[in-house]
Amino acid sequence: MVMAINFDQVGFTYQPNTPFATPGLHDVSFEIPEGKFTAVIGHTGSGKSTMVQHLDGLVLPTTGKVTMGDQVVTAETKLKELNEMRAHIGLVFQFPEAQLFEQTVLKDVMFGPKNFGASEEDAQAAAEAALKKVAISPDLYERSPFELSGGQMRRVAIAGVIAMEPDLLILDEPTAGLDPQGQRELMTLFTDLQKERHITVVLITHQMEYVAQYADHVVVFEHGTVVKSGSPTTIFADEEWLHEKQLDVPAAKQFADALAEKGIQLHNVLDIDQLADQLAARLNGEVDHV
Amino acid sequence: MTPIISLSHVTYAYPNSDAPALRDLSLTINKGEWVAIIGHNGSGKSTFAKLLNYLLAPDEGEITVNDVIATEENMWTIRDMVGMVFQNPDNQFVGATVADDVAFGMENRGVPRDEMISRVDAALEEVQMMPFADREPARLSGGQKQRVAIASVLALQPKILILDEATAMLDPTGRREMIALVHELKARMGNDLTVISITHDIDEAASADRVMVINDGELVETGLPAEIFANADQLRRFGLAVPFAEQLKEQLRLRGIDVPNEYLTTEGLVTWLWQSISTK
Amino acid sequence: MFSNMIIGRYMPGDSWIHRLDARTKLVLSTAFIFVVFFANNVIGYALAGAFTLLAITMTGLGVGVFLRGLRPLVLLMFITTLLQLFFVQTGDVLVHWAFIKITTDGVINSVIVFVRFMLIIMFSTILTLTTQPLAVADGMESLLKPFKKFGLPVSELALMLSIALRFVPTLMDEAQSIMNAQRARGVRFNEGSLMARIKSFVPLLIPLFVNAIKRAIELGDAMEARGYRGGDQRTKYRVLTWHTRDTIAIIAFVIFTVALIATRWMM
Repeated sequence: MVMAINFDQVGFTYQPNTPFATPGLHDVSFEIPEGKFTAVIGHTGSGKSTMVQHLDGLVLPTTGKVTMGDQVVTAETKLKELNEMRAHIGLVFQFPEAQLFEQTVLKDVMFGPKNFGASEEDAQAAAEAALKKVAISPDLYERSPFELSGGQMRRVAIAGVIAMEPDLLILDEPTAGLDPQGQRELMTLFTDLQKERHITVVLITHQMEYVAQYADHVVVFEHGTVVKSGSPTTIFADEEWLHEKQLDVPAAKQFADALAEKGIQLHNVLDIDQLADQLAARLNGEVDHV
Repeated sequence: MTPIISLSHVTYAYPNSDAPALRDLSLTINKGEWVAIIGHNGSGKSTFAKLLNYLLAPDEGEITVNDVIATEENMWTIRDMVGMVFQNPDNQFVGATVADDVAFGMENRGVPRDEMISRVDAALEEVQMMPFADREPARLSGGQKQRVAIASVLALQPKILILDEATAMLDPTGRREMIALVHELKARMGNDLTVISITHDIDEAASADRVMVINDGELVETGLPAEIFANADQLRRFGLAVPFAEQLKEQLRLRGIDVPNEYLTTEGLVTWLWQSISTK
Repeated sequence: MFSNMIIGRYMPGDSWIHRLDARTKLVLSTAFIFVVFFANNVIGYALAGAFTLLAITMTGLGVGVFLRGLRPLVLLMFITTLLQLFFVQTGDVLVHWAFIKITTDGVINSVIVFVRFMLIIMFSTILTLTTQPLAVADGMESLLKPFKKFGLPVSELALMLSIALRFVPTLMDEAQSIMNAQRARGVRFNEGSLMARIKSFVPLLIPLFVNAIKRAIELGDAMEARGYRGGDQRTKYRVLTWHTRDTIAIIAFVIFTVALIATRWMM
């Protein structure tokens, strides 16, 4: 299934027609390229999470339309179409371990595939494959998910989404609250998955390191709308603008900027490899002083 | 230096668990110190925090807080001296409004109402949350909730402030603001406030006077942040993050560059690079 | 799904009614339920209606909000009114068809029940719309204080109530996000047969329950860490203060009651 996504003038109001009506999104237009890794950044409350709910038809746009592959979602879209659409979309929410409920780990991971019509055997096969991917060993399959450690629960919950074999995988701050090693393991898992299956990945994150390292495309939200989108290099080029938006700059870029202040100019530094390469060249005297 | 907290041979195991969460832990924290306790999830750091104010009682060994031995009889005296901020901002907010929450601890101690009012105001002033005094918790950001949690502790005038992964659920802005706030408090109160921050945030740990590493229930390393952070391999082995400057040094070394062995902060490494490149 | 519930929700404001002490509002809305029964003719109901309308206008929230608040109760009101219509069989017969017999007394009674029902709901809505839930809890604690003597743990109950109120929005948010997560995994809430609907709530209720317990344990730790041990040595930060306006409100209500009783002899 083709999964290019397009937002066209999307607006969304919470609790419309009540005294509590609050605007969530307005004039949102952007694209998520198919088969790529897209990062969505922005302040807490900038509208990122509301946008994500549109991607899975959990809310419908109040105005405008969202095109996902050949499915168009508007305020009038029927529930049945949404259910069909959801079968192809995996959504990992913040603190996804809160969704675990079955008696055993294996059953919980099979829950998604079965809801979308997979047979018992197919669901089990998909679940076992997914659990293997997230490094949950088979001796835990029959355990209650509530007996596991926090990190294991997180991985089981993610397996529950991966087992649906989605064409679009949406990750809403999937590593929040984990220790550094746990964070690294998860990010590696997601990038491997994206490369192996050529799926579209949308990552919502506060960590600019991830954006610099993994993203092909970046979308910036502020006050309920998209204020910029482009490649990581374009986004991080205008530092003043980022500061204005209270967004961070990746550590490697910050470091390069500190060097620039001392008169050492480097080019297009986003991650640590680029930084180390250029510095090593300088230190070995391969490049003339600027 | 006067010790304010000391543990000798402390062991604790949770009921129904096969392995102890903490094993034979002995350490001393001095009055006015800022100590960061780091370790991966499940290493036993939070158990350590709970032992310090007798939310848990040690199975073996002895804990002394400001010359008071932690026992059942002394637990309220100990809790008067030790204030704690927990990880989840939502699950420690007792009051229905910000001011009520700050007052809660004082209500428990029977503080007269007039005094409570002035102490609530002073504490909220200290964390810059005075304009939010009548707000409900649901309307605050995570960072604001944690600042209220700090105010609630400060209002009780504790000698020791424990931050139990208090920044783990915040966004980067919230996290930075919180570290800055603790810096300010430390600067103002000096030796009257001892800070113990349990964390895996490198920036938070780097602010401390001393860093202790707990791994699988044991204290494996104690030292200045510089000493602990210089050993990237070891940090990784314990499942921890490596400061950026040290990561860069490693990468340069891999590219055949002769970098200094001692720990360098970002500024330190920038200066070193600048000097080395300029003399080329 | 939680967004349409307006009834019982506090709407911030600064009206005279908003500023009344919670105790005043609690006592008066309870009293109103009984007082309204004094009305036994058109003039009485007109007076009660006028008094309610005056109070509503004074909240500054607009009658519309109150009418919307009635919406979830429409079915209940309708059924009660119908019952009156069919079960009161005295008076002149208006309609007689098969086993259905509608009489003049039936019609009059159902109108009375409908009006009374509406007035009571509207009047209690004034309390919930203009008073913070916390203030309601405080007011209740204060009014129940005399029962402490009989061993009722009034302070503990009030603290429990206030914590419960404080967690309502947190748990609502959590329910919403768990629901979203399960919908993303293919659960269809509010679709299919009754059995299917009930079954679909299991994946919502179990995590909600498990997480609520986890929260409760953490909250317990946090409360203990801050020195909570129950008992009577606790002081209170929040105190209720009685103002002149509360006395005025009570006097106004007493006058209304006397007038309402007087209407009984007016027809």
